Amino acid sequence: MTRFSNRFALAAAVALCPVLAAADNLTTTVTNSYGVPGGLIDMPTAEMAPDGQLSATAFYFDGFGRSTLSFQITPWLSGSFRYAGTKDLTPQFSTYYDRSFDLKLRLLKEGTYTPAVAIGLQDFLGTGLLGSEYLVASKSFGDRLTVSGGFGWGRLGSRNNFDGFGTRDPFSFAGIGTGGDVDTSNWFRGDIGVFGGFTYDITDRLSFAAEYSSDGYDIEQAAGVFRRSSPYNFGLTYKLTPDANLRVYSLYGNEVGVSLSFGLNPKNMPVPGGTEQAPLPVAVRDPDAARDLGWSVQPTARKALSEQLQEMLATDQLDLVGLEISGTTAHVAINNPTYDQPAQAIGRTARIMTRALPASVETFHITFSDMGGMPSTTVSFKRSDLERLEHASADQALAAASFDDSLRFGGLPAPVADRFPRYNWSISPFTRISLFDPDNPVRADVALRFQAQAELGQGWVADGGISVKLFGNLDKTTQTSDSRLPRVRSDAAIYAREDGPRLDWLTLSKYHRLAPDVFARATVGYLEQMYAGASAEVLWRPLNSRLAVGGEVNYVQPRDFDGGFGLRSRRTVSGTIPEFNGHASIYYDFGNGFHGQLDAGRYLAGDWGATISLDREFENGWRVGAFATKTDVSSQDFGEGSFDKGIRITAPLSWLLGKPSRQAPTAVIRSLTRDGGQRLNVRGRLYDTVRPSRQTDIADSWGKFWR
Amino acid sequence: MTVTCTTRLALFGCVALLTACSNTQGDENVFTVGKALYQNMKTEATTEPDPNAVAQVAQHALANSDGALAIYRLEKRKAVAVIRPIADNGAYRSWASYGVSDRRSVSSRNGILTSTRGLGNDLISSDLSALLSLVADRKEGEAQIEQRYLDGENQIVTIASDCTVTRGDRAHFATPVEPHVHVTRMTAACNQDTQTVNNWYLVTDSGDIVQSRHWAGPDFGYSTLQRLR
Repeated sequence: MTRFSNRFALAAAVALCPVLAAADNLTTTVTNSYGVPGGLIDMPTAEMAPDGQLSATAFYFDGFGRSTLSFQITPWLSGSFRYAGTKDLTPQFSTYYDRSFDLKLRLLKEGTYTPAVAIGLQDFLGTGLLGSEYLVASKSFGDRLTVSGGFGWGRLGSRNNFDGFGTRDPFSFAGIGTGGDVDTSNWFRGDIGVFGGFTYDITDRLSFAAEYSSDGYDIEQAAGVFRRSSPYNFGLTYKLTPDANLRVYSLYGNEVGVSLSFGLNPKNMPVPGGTEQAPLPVAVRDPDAARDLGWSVQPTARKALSEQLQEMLATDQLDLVGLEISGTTAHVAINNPTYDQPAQAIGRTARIMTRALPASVETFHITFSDMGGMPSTTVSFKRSDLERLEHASADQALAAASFDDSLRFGGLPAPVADRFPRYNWSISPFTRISLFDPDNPVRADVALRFQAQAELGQGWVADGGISVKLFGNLDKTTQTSDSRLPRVRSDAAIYAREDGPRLDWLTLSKYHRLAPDVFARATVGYLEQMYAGASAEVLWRPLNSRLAVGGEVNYVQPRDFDGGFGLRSRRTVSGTIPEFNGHASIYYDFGNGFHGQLDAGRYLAGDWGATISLDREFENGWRVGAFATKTDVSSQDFGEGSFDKGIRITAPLSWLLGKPSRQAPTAVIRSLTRDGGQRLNVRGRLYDTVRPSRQTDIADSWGKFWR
Repeated sequence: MTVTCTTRLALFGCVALLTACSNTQGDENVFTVGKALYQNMKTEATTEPDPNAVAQVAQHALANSDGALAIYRLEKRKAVAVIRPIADNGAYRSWASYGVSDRRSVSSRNGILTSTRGLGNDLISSDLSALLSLVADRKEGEAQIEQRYLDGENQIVTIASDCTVTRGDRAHFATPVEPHVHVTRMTAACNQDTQTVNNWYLVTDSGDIVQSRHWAGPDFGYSTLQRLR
């Protein structure tokens, strides 16, 4: 028991005082010039960032810039995505931009007498300019000193080296444009360089680093943009905050460099538990009052009850959709537009029911009924359990709750009068961003969008959005498509050029329950920026399962470039856009914070293939993941990048604001958008719509039931 | 070109001012998010509340209301409030600030803070049964207690403490309505994994705690709860 409680206390201390979490010596929020966790400068170490840490690093020295996003995928695996630019490296471009991915895997944890050991791949997709592999060991001595040393291949094997195994293809600008395929034939081949260095913490905020670099900067020296007159680099790091570092460097004897990194850990919510207003307390019944059923025969009493419930739920930003009430049982259907933690919506509804309903009502049923009134899951309580457990540990209330698929449960409450139709609208600014255009790596438009939604009841929803560009430079894109596939996405620049107001989407959807655990959606209209048509989807998602299976079929017609109501011919210069596409999908929650999805089927350009996605999910709504699509299109036909891939980050506003919100914008960073492996962007797909209201997600969020 | 640009900027500014451009409550956009973040930054700089102002609220409450009243304080937060009961559930009583409409609440069991709501870093629930039975009976002994919080992923974390309860001196306790109450001062030294906290409670001869100083959480520090009426 003592061990048990100590473990909880430790977990609490770590969670509540993030500062303590940094006690592990070989865990650092400092990143090197490549934006990878580690205290050295141009060389890697075996250090890792705290689990879940996201960091963005900008590094610059005369003509060289690197912007890197790193994520600590697990405590022992770190991944990085980088966009690097070098001025005058090749006559083809004034600045040569190159994207690269890194992985660093810790093989051994640091012991009392043994170092931590890590193996790393830098720029491992294709024959990249920065391509190298390394094996590195790091050991801390006391609280302040960390020493690292290792062997490097590729770039990191170009100086202070000895003969390795096999030969390595040299980097060549001729190879650019087709990179993107994983080519393992060069990994750990060629000369092996030896590098090393140390970091020393002078004060809590200031530290010093020195290293011996085995990177010869051969390509840059050959191009005449860099002179390497010394192998030694030195750096000073100033900790601005626990997650932000400013570093200045002396590089290779001649250069002065600077880097700035900002970090964020999804696990460290700024205000754990949130600052939203307190829930209403449970109203405990007078023991004698429960026998009084006199109210149940009066029709006016029922109407007054419904209105009171509606009003009290509205105060907690919940929507009463349906109500069925008998002498001893009440069934309430709610729409939850507010709470990202579904258990909080259930908990608040249940407490409101204790205050609004007559004392004779002992059984409560609460049904999630979002999407214009499609029932999903029904949670049931004994009212006396709620009264008894209000001040107990939340897991006791979870044990006292029972869950059913709403269709299996049956007896769904009738819609409350005047609930449908309901209209919601908003006007808000937003940005459209285009990345990695070789002429200008970041282009953006700021636009204003008017959005309106009409919930019509019975699962019918009409939805539309119109936007007007305010300012921006997306229309300056001069990139023209050289696609050999039907132009299903690569005409994005032509869409961006149109200036007037545009209809972003205008759809009518019907959400429907086909059977217990089976959900369906049909959508018609202007589905997205580029396509109009119809989309139909079915999803099997059991109440309490990690697995879900779904399928989707779409009929599409390309829309006019001006974003109006018109359609254009399916024929494009490089082929005809097929009318039908669709996918079969498998979703699986691995349960340790990882979620996988496999979609296989026919993509927009008529190519057949599959998309695999893997996301690290945090219980507070953060998601960081990567996806890759391989279809039967050859790398040559696909063009630059060889296949579609990218990373995506979902940031819940509730985390940032410290109050509930179901808004959680997702940023997708992908290499150039080509025509192969592209899916239709229909809104309101079932999986993400249904999942938050199933037992798995409700139980995972139970900590907020009494909040 | 300049004209259109200005018009657009004006439109943009108009939207910036009309941040509630929505008929849906809780619909967030870049401006509401920015405003909330700015407010969060501002509220971090809390100062000790003026004791005179608190005393005035207490006097007003005593003169203009019936029923129980108490005053509570969170030391690390530098927060003080006069509170009135809003609900009773068995041994637990929930309170809200007197004369303030914002929905924040705290709950207590026999005069000790057991949970908070809407304060940020809330104490979600406490299990103090073993401690309370010793303190109310003014007995010495060992008691285990649990206090529960939410971490950054909304998961419950429990801080368990092993408390050693000792009896102190007899004393007088005065409230505005009862100037002479005989109390016993009970202390509890509670060992957690990383620290020891020292709580104390003033207990009447009938076992009611009229004042407590009880550790409430890493972000709150000690809570003081004192009966006014």
